[in-house]
Amino acid sequence: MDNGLGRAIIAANRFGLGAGPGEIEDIAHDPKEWVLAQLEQPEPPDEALLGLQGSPEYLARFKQYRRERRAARQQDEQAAVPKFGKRFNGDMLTEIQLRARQQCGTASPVHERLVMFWSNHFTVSAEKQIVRLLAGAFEREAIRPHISDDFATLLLSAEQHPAMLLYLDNVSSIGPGARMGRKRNRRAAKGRGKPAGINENLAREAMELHSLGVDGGYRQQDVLELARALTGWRTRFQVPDRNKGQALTPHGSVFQHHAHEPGSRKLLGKTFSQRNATQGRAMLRYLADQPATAAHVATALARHYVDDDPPRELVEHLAKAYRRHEGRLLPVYRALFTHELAWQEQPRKFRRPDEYLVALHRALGELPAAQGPHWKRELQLLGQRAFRPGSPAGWGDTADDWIGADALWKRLLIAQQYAEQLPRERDPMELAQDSLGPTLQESTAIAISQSGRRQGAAIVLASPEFQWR
Amino acid sequence: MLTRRQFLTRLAGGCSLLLWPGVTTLADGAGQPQRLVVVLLRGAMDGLTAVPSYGEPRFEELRGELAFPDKAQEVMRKLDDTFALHPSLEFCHQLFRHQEFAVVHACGLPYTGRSHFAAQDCLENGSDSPDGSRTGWLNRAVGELQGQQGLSISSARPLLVRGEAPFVTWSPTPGKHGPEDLAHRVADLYDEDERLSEPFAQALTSQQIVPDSRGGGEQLAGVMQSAGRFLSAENAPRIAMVQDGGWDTHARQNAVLKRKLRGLDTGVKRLRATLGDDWRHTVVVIVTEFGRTVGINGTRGTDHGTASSVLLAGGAVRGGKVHGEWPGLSRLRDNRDLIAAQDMRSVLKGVLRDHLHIDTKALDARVFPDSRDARPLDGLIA
Repeated sequence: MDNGLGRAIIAANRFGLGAGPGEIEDIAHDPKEWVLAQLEQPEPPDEALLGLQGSPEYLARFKQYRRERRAARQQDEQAAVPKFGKRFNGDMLTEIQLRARQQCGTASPVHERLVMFWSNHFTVSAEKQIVRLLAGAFEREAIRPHISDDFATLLLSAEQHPAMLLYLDNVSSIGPGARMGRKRNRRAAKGRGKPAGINENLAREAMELHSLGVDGGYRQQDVLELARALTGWRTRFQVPDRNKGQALTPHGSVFQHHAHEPGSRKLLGKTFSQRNATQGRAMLRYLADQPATAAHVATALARHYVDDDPPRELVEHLAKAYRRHEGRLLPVYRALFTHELAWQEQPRKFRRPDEYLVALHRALGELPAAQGPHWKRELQLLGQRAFRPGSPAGWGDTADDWIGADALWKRLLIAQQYAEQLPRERDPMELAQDSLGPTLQESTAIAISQSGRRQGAAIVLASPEFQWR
Repeated sequence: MLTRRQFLTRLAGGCSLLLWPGVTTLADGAGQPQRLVVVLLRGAMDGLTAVPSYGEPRFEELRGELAFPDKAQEVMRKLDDTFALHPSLEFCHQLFRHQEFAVVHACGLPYTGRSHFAAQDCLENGSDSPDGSRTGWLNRAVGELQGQQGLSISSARPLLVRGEAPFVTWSPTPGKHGPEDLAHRVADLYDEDERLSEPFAQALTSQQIVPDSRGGGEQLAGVMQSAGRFLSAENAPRIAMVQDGGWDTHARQNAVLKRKLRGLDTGVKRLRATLGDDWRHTVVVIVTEFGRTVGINGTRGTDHGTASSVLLAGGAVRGGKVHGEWPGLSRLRDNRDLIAAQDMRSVLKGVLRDHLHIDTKALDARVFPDSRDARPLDGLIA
């Protein structure tokens, strides 16, 4: 493999989101620099994407919708108020399309892949209606601005966002010793209403999935203590009165003192005697400082970029960078993108369905439409539902999660459909060389040369080498 | 792995004997005639509409206009003095009279909350809680059988079939033209990719069983028909799952369920037709995550409840019977829901033990972890 082009294709496909027309020749001058420069100075995101509504607006509209539904139900006129889908489908499709346009069109694909990685690390999944509406805003507000900060900032920004508080049920976690909890429990004892209690969901996932990792050495007692500290972290949906609750974030989450379990807490042997929201924040920062978190983040990054079963040497290298730089993420990314183990031709990573669609659009030099259901439909056809991985663990990040007979067949179907969009001035061999570089197999090249224009383009996009990065 | 010659033979098509790629110990797997189809109805099917307990004194009073869902048809598909089937379940009723259809009513999960997603996770992972396992019980059941592979009629694998045992995926292709020509052009290229050659060959084999141009469509009845084709093909999977959404009937329930249950009934009918003689060895288990409120709500529907019914069809079923305990409607959970008299896992364990011959210890410990208290239900299989 020609070294410059070989490394350029790794830079564009593995670290970026897929090579576009004529791109790898440029990258080949200095592939490493091409990657690192994007970390320092990413292109600002698309204005249309940034112009979408924020969480506070979505929360207010959802509140209004619920109010109208309730009023209509009481008067038996429910049919008069459109259902959630009718009312918000347009918003959700626009969120999906504009995000896809950003991924397909960005001049900073290395930065954008990191956004996708962290968005999946801190998954919210759109089973609940309100989360469906907030999922895009979550990525814009909680993830995108913070992927180059330190991990503690990113962790805090994700856990405090209203989408996360709603998704992992923290909004209904009420300290039994808090004013609201005592009141509710007194009423419940008299047979009125439900008792209030702690919900551990967010605290557990914050440790198991977001920071320490499942083998990170915490116990059930630690989960409970963090959950107690996070009581009172709610949203403007539960606390609409602007005079009540202090803002946790500018995105519609609030700290409600009346729901917060008072007292000092103990996490991993350390005592936290702060009050109010400061306590939970300090505990999350403490989690970010743990060596187990360094190892967990390092493993996740190495698995995403390099190998389903990442080399221990690389993982340790990244974990060390994390610890040495106190969780600052830029040095960790640099450690990853400058390590020789990350630039090997083998092993390869199998493209996730959204990565496949993005790479295909970039190869063709196409942007998806700003409106409409296309991206949602195509992703679903390929087995991935937009913003809906169905589990707080997010989308699987190994080939086993995505390779399947039906998945391959549906990729062929997509390849066949998109082949028609090869611009007139490009021929299929050019498409192959631009998007695959030296990874283009001889047998694929022969098959292309024996086919017509449209068929040849379909072969490129359907080829096995196009499925990998 | 497939040899190159096998691979190319497959491409040539028209071979009478299909070899399912990926099954290494064909002899063991092929020796088992038993077929199992799990139909997962997402959204919570109202068990009292599918199988009304019309004979109970309070039934009409509690259910209002839901008591007799289809006045126009005015049919009562009686099963016995207490139970009937919904008018749309015409074929299932015929099967019942031939002892090939049975009901286990009032089945519930260890999870008793009312979230669809948590309940579906619990039903699929087979543990006692929504986050009790990250693999599915049907996958683990296949894992207990030597040399077997499962089939999931879906693009990605749902939790129910996730895990270590091999599950091939297939789903209908939308539109008129599938990518079959393109597939033949890239087949040689896929043959050279060691990770992709086998699933690609499986996709090609699937096309021989159910070509894109001849699929039964994307509706439940169509995919059940396709499932039947796979299960009756030689050396193909014996165990399949299909899923269907849209059972969450908060409004206009009678109209919606009339259509949905007819789709299910047609699905069973087409499945039986495509299975042919293999129907004798088949059990179809139709499950849903929970039931719905006994009473009607303000929009002529029902809200999330607790227990629902499990339907069993197939030549291997001990049919013509409503199995299990019936709690009745005189007492309700939270004064609104049918009480769960059976653990759903007991029903599933009864089927897996007596139909697929998976031993009780494996069922108690691995397929349904820590489930010894949920004893397999006896007598479901003929």
